[in-house]
Amino acid sequence: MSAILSTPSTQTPKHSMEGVTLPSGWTLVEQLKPSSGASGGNFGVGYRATRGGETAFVKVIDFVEALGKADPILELQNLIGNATFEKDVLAYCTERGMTRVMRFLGHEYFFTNGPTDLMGRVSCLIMEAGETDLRRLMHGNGPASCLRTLQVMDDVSLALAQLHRGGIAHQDIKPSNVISVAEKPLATDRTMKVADLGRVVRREQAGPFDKFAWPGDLRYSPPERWYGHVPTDWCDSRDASDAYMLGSLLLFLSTGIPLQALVGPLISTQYRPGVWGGSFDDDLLAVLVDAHARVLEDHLKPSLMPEVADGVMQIAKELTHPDPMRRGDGRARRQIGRPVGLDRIQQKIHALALRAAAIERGRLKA
Amino acid sequence: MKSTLPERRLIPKWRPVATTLESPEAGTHKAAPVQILSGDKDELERAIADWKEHRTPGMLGEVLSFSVHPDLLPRVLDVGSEAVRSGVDLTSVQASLINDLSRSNGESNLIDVPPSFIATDTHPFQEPIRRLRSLLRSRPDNALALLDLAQLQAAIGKTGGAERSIRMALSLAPNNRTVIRTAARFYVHADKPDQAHQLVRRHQRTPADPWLMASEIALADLAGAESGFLSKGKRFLVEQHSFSDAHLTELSGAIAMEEYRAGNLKRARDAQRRALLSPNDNMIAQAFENRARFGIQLETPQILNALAHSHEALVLKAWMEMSPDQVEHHAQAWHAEEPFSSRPIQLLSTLYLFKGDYAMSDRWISAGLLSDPLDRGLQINQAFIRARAGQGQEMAAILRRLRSRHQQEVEPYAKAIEGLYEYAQGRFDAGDQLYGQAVDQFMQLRRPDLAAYCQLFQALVSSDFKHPRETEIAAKASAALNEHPTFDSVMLLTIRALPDLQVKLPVDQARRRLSQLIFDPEKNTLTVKHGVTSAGAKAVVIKNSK
Repeated sequence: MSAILSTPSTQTPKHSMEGVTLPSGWTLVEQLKPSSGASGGNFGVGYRATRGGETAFVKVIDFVEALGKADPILELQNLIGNATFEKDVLAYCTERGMTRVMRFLGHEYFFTNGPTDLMGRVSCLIMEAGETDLRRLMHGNGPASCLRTLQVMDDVSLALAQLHRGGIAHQDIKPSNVISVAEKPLATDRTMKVADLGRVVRREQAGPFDKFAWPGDLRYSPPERWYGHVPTDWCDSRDASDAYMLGSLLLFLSTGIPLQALVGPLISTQYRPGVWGGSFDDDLLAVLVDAHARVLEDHLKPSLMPEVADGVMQIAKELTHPDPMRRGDGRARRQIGRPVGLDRIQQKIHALALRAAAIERGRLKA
Repeated sequence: MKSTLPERRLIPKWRPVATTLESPEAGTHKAAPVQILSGDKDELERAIADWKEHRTPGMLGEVLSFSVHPDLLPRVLDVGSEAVRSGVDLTSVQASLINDLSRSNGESNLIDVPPSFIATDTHPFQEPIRRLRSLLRSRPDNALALLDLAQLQAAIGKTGGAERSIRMALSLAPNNRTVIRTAARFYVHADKPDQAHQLVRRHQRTPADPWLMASEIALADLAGAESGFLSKGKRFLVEQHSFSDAHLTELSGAIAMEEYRAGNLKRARDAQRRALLSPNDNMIAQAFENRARFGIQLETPQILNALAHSHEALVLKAWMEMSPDQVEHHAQAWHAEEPFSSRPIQLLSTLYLFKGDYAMSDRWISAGLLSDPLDRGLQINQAFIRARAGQGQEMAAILRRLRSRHQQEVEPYAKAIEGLYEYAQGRFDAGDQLYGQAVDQFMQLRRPDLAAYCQLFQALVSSDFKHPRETEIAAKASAALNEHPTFDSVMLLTIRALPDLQVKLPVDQARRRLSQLIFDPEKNTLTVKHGVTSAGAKAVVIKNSK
């Protein structure tokens, strides 16, 4: 399970919650080990919780560590701000019926040492538990088959379309944040959901990560952020970033490597991030377009089912255009407000997934 | 006799895009950002631990994703090598990426790599064109791939298709310097120097871009137009301090040529010195071509480094040093870099013609004429081969075409070739007469060097065809060559090794240095004095104490 986890320097109340039953009836049965790929912050400890036959993921935070910092007021302010923001976002997504985003199950406080010890009070954010993430599901014969890739892409693109409709940009779509919610191998029907909303930005509401140059993981960020370019328009800076990361996920599912790691070696030395001193202009964009095109042609295309290859390549091209102003569904981007149009792209992916499934069934029968 | 190459100008080179992108001309003069994108080592170690536990390709992919951070690359490669060697589950793309990263890190192949495509019976450009077309089908907005496609289209004579590709690249990336310069170079190839000049002159980027200003100055000269950026370029060199020497090399070189033509030799040398502080492959080739004009020694470490990366300059150097094997090697490399250009093909066809390998020379000429069917030099060489083989009709057809387009310039060459044909037919008197007319015409054009070169050819073919007066012709040629020797003549004699005809190039003039070391014995200091020295100046000067 990917979560907001950290290795503590000292044990605080949030680390000793195993076996505790919350007033809502959830029992925290297992503290989860810190996992790679978590980027939500350094303030929570994750637990697997059960209630009857149900399982949930509980993120526990306390205020002890913050009080020990050099500026405790500021730390507390950040901690409370981040926790409240994440809780509100999760609640909002569940309220809006976002079916491919991990559900919010509740929030409550708990006194670890009785009601008199205020320092022992912890905040518990309860949310839907996933089974495992995409990285661990990809095994056996290597990258997922084209059909399975499209099914995962269908779920994740639906999650992003739902978030975008709600004015939320995820900004940290990566394999560790795509979670299987059924205990079944990737080969069979299952639902994938998007987790870790700790770093989202909201269009209508200020959040703790609004002013970050890049709130998510740089390894998975879109190319404009490698060069410190932040477009001014919401769609170009936020929704288009999600689109790129969705495209990168397509490469990960098809090749076992995210797009960014494949593009990097194809960029000539003087244009590489950290070396290039110019702006995000025509000189740089032409190089990035060429590098991306070569990755799609050399690595993605050979992994695709020939019957759906053109459609998938078109989607990959739209999702991974290095220019954030041209990224996304072409028709949507010509509309007023220039939306990225992940809803349209999701529909196309869905249609391709159905087609691939039909072809696969036909092959099996034959 | 074979033709001489046209005058070289500092118009942009049109190499494969991947090569150009590694050169300063495609880069920026602005400093790299101070902020370094470093990765999280702890996070990487956690990913490695996860991979060691689960060993899935997905977890390996997570580890490989850290390769975007150069500081973490060695650790990523350790894990990648372990994955390849231990035979765990990994995808073919993962294996290929690990291998590529490992090789770029200076290590050997970890996996068996299939040999790269080698053209055999197919056209050498067929495979790269197919690949570029496929790339462009998936992404038609790839301006750089369009430039590469245009280069190959130009190489096989599809000038119309090449122009369409160039126009499309320009519309996709109208402000990209590489695209603008390549488009200008293409228009020069397509014999539209005016269009090339106008493109660069009118471009909004030119007034602030030294690479484009340099191109504008050189293209104006080629188009016979007045440069709009000569004065601005001179001011730019004085006023702009944010540009490194590497970014000013072509601008300084173009200004040097203009100053030279205007008769301002001192200013020309100063500009040439600046151009040679950090020259690129284009500038160094230009410097070698004009070595005699500027009289500057080309021996600084920067120059030698640039020389090592310029096949064109190495060809010129090898030609001057009478090293036919080196000429052949570097001219072929130059042709691979600029397959549309007829200059390396002219040199190669001439070299094989000197060697007497007429079949090979003819093959190169055919390849060159595919790219530019009207190339004057190649057609002259082709007519020479036809005449020598006694193919009178073919020779006459080629000469007719040449005369219709280049009446004045080509006439003495045509006469000499017709003379050769007469020799080949055993009609020595008629041949003598035609050779005589060719020599006279070269003299009228005030080109005694070419007249001597023509006489050398006459002597060689008179020997080949057993002319009754071959000794007399050889003696005349020897006298003319001793008076007006050229590199071409000496190269031809070096290859043919004729004992009767000996010629020596005049001793190289003492050259000027770009800087001098000044040793002060009193202070025990050694300082560098920048500036063009007098001819033959010493490398180190000991300062006089009084």
